[in-house]
Amino acid sequence: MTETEKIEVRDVTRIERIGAHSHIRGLGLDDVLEARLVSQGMVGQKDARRAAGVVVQMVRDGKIAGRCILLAGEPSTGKTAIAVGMAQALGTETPFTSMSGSEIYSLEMSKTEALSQALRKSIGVRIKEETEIIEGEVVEIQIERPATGTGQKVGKVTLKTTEMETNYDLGNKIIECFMKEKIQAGDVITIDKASGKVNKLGRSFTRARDYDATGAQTRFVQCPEGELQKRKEVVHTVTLHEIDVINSRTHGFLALFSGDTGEIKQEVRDQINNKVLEWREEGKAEINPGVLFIDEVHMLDIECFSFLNRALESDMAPVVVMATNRGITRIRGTNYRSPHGIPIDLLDRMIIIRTVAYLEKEVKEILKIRCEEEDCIMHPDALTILTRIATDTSLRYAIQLITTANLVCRRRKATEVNTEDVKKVYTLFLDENRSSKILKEYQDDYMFSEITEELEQDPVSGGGAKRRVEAGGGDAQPMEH
Amino acid sequence: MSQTDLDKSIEIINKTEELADKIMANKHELTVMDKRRQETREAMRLMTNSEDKKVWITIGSMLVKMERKKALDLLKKDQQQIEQQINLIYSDQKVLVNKHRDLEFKSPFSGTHLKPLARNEFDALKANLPLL
Repeated sequence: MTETEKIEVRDVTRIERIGAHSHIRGLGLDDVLEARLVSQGMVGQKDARRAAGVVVQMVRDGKIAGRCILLAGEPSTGKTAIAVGMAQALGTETPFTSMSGSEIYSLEMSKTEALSQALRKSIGVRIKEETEIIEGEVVEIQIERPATGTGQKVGKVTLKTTEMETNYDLGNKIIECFMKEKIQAGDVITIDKASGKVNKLGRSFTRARDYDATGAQTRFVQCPEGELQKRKEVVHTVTLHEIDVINSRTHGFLALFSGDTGEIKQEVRDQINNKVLEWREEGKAEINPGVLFIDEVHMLDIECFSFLNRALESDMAPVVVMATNRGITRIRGTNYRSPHGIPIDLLDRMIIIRTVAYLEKEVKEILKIRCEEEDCIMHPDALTILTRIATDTSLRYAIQLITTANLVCRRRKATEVNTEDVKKVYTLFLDENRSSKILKEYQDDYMFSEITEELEQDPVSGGGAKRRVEAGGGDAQPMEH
Repeated sequence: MSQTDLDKSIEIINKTEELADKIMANKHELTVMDKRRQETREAMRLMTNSEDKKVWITIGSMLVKMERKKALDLLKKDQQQIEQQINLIYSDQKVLVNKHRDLEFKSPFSGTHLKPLARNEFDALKANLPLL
């Protein structure tokens, strides 16, 4: 049966890659939405997590469609981690689309089209499919072919479950289905009553010993229980974008896979909206607004922000969560500065969640969790040194050192990473500060180096970005407290 | 555990078990009804195919010989009644299962109150979204 085959393929190929945030399983809140210190992969950052928990609760209740939330904080303070936690907490039912601010600058479609598509991908529509199916194990099949060459075949099939048995008279078309699927006694089949399609689920366990050898594809299933004719109801969630794509061209689903959907006309979108609202009136569909997460939102320009202002006011709008680590920055597309690089009128519509830098013991916990995630056993002294490194340089650098130290330790045929390994990789791999210091000293030896003299007086602060002439525009300053 | 906690737990367990019993009884009822439905259908088949003017039919525990047409009508009426019963049990089941989940402090199954989409609408969606 093709549907079960598809489901199997999906489960087997679900290899989870160890990414920067793969250790996060949720927001780690308890029943009263208080953040536990270390839970579900999240550490510390209690206020931001509580706020995110409140937002998740409101999305679940369907109460804040069309609102905007901003996660703002210094680099490496867990903004993306909180967004990943929110996605996990909302579960698989609510659509969660994650994108980066720069993704909208694609050559194939305009910025507003990319944003519209992202917004529509985050709105789910719940629909229900109802079918009557007959599911049972075949006891015997009798097919009578007329002696005179051509003519209608007639047949009889006896189906049973663990509790009942009955027989059916078969017409010509369904006999052909049976013969195509090569159904014999002992097979467990389903027949869709409305469409007449026959599907073979497998062979019954009780008939496993019938033959000494069976084909490679043979699958054994249990004899079905209960009634023969069941009503099957399945609830699906499709996103508005998928429905848009179907209607905007004839071979819509191919476009969905190749990613090249092109521009979808507004009339098509309006038609879809009307149809979905009609379904909602008739009680056939439920609109399920989800979450659109835009990371690095300072990369959006003024046109996108104006578009968002308007788009968020439509009645089919998802919750938009944005994240940025910029302070007072120029808005892209203008020469004006504003907090976070977002215009003030959009900022006014947002609720802002602040993330703060981690404390030393929180950093230690995070490193411990990452060690577990990356399958690395670390000696407590090595962990302490790593924590010191993290507080002096940055959290991300220390996380990178975990896997590298693990490899160094394996090379000397040991299982536990100790302080020597950590010191070795610390000397092997430079962090941002040391790298910039070396650059300043040896700038003449590097190609195209144009660092000006005034940088000599700039203090080197951990986590702060530098102004480089060669880097071009895009000012970046540390977050102002 | 204090007395009130104990009492509360017993009350919750009582209620959930009661509901669960009802749900299982309904499941069994569905099987019985389906059995009757299939038997009635088989009987109708046999009667429409046979040529006799009068057929033997069991009413309650009596064997009666009556005209084929009348017997068919009786069976059809039976069939309709059984279908109605089955529909009733299905809707009851949904309500009971949601009540059960509610007692266990779980959220109810989503989409239970949705009406199903028309066949052609759903086939159109399915044809274009292979993951459905």
